[in-house]
Amino acid sequence: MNSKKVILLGKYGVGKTSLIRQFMHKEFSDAYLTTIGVKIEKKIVTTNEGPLAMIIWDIAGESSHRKIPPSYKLGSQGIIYVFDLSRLSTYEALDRELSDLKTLLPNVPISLVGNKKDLLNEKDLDTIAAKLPLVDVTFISARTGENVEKLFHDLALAMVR
Amino acid sequence: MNIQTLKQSYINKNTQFVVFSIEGQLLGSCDTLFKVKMEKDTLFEEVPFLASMVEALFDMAEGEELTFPCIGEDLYGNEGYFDFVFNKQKYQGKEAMLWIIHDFSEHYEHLISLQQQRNESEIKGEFLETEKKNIQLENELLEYKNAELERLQQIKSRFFSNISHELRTPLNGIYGLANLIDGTGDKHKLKEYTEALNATVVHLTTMVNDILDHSKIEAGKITFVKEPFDLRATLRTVSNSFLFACREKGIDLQVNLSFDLPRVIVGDATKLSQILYNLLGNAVKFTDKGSIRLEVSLLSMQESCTELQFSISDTGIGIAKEKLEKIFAPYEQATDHTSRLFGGTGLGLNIVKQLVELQGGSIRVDSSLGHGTEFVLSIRYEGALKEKNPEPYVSSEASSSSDPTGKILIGEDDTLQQKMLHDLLLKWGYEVSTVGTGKQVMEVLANTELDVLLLDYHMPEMDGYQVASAIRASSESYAHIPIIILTGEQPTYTEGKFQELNIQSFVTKPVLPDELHKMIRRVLTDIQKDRKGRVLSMGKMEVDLSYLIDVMDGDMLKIKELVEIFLSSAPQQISKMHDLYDKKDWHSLQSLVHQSKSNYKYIGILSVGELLDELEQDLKKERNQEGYLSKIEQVEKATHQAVTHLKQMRWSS
Repeated sequence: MNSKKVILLGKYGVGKTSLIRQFMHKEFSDAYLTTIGVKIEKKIVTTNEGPLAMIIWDIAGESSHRKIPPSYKLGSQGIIYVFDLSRLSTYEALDRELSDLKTLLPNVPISLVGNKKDLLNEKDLDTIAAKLPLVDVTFISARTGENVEKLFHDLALAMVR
Repeated sequence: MNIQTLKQSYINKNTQFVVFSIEGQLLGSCDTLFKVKMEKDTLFEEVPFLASMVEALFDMAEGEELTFPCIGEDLYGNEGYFDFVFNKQKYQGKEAMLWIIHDFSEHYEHLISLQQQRNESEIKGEFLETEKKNIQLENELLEYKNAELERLQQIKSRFFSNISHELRTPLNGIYGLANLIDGTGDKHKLKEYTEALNATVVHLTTMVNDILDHSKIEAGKITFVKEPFDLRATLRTVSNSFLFACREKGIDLQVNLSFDLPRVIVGDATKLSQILYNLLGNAVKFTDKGSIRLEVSLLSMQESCTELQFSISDTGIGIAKEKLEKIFAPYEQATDHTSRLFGGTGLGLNIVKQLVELQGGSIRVDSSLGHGTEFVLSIRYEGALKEKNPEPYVSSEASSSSDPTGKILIGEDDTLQQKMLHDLLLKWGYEVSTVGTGKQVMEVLANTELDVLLLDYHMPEMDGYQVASAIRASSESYAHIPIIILTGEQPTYTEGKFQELNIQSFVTKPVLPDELHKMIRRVLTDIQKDRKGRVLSMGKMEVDLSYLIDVMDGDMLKIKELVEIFLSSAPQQISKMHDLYDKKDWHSLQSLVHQSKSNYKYIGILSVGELLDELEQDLKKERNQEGYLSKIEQVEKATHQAVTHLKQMRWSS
């Protein structure tokens, strides 16, 4: 079976682990448990090219991907960059972060994800969207599961394309 | 046990060595931490970590080492945190990968709690910082709102203080004038006070209207009518109303209308007038020398929309740059000094702006202190009718070329009204003389040939009635001059009194320029019409054959027959009048006069007809007996002239 390495990046507390948990087990917990190093999970998803094993690297949150061991990013075939819609500090440097990643991992699809959509109203979401450097941003909620499946499905398609 | 043995024992228990081929086949494992079970074909399928690193591991060079710290994974049921080291090297003669696994679970789990504390603290710090910023922003907003509220409060207080003063002043004036009116028996004073009262009420009404308009606009209750109206007439009416004020201040009022303006547009004429009155009023108020200019042009014209641009500029005191942006705000005036010096509510320009914008338009202002101000506004109207023969330029100062000309004497004792009338008539293109007493009116009439007399009813020495009576009783050429009486009385009362003097033209004060102009034009047009051929002028005697021409359909032979009958009967009737006068047979004389006057009127010797009217009235009322003979002689003289002239006429159809 075809396997693809997907890394999850983003500042601590943005909900990367909650996102994986929702995707893997359809579960959510309000308790914040920090991640150290990297936790690896595997899930088989179906694509038009057949089943695909997504090996998901849930990497401990840092203020910049530069603080993460370079070996973690080695061989990545998909990136999910997660930020917290309710914390400006998690997306104010997105431009530079994404630009760095594109240089480091050229031709690797990047999904930009704003988590905790459930905490904001539509007007606030529009205001935030207007400030973001990329038009293609997926707003999700790891709590409710909104757009979570779609996010991984779209990335899987992008990786096998 | 030596130190090397101790070291190996310590490292051995936490470290496992696994060797596998490049294809993922297990080549060897010490199984210290977990037993590698090969239930699947390759290790890559057994361990997700390895599955995700296949390509990277393949790409390593021989002897190259790759380290992965702190990997949280379940390795064959042994869940924990491991550091992985990969080293590509030869194993049993083949290319292989050495995978060294260090179990640091205990160490990393201790780190988790530290990391958790650090992250939680930082996240909390972030929230506190955000909250602090929010509080700071809220405080700033609150401060701004307070300052704005205070500013508005001050403006409103100042406004109410100003408006209170502005309203009290005319109210006090009204109160004072009412007392004066109540206590005076002097007609002239009464007239003066009443006029002052009128002016004060008009001023007060304007102020109250401003306040009410502003309230209406603020409450969103103002409505606009959409009716066709004559654009040029509206503009003319507005600009004309400022002519007197401009003349008084010695400033020039120029009106420039673009040649392509539509004649009729659909919209609210009253609101347009209100806007222009306000802006022109300000221009007059703030300009002491130079000029004021109203320019109107067509911006666009489509089937359903016509956009007009209005520019009102002056060479007045101007507005300081820093005050310009607030000039349209309610309750604002350029300075407090403005309010004290020029009065007003400070609502005018705000009302103008709202009226313009509510009609889909816009307004801007340019100004330079000491050099003047220009307001430019555009308004969109729904439709328009284009003028077939447009006038390229219209100036309020110019009179229409179709207006009849004439010499007019004004008999008015009030200096202000005298000047106002003088300037109005001059503006309309007439030759104007003014006098202040009835006696002076008589003197001027005796020495000057005039077309119309504008006569004030109330004048010292001889009032209007006495002057008019003297004129009509006179045998001079001016006896039949058209007289327009200016009166502050009820027209019905005045007209009744003047009826016997054959005066039908009355203008009620305050004089409405349009009404007066219309009346003068009518009188002069009649005179001109007569002069164009229907009247035969014979020195001071005139014969108007128009009645006969009308009833005989222009048949000059029939008219000639009638005139010949008159020519033979008129001398006989006059001779009979003398006889009856000599016999003092007033009753028969009255019957004869009555019968004769109709003949004179049919033939068109109107002045004699009027003279006979007067004689008949005198006879009827048995008055002025001493004047009977004089009137009969005047009739005889005039008849003789008419007869002579009629006999010399060439009769042809």
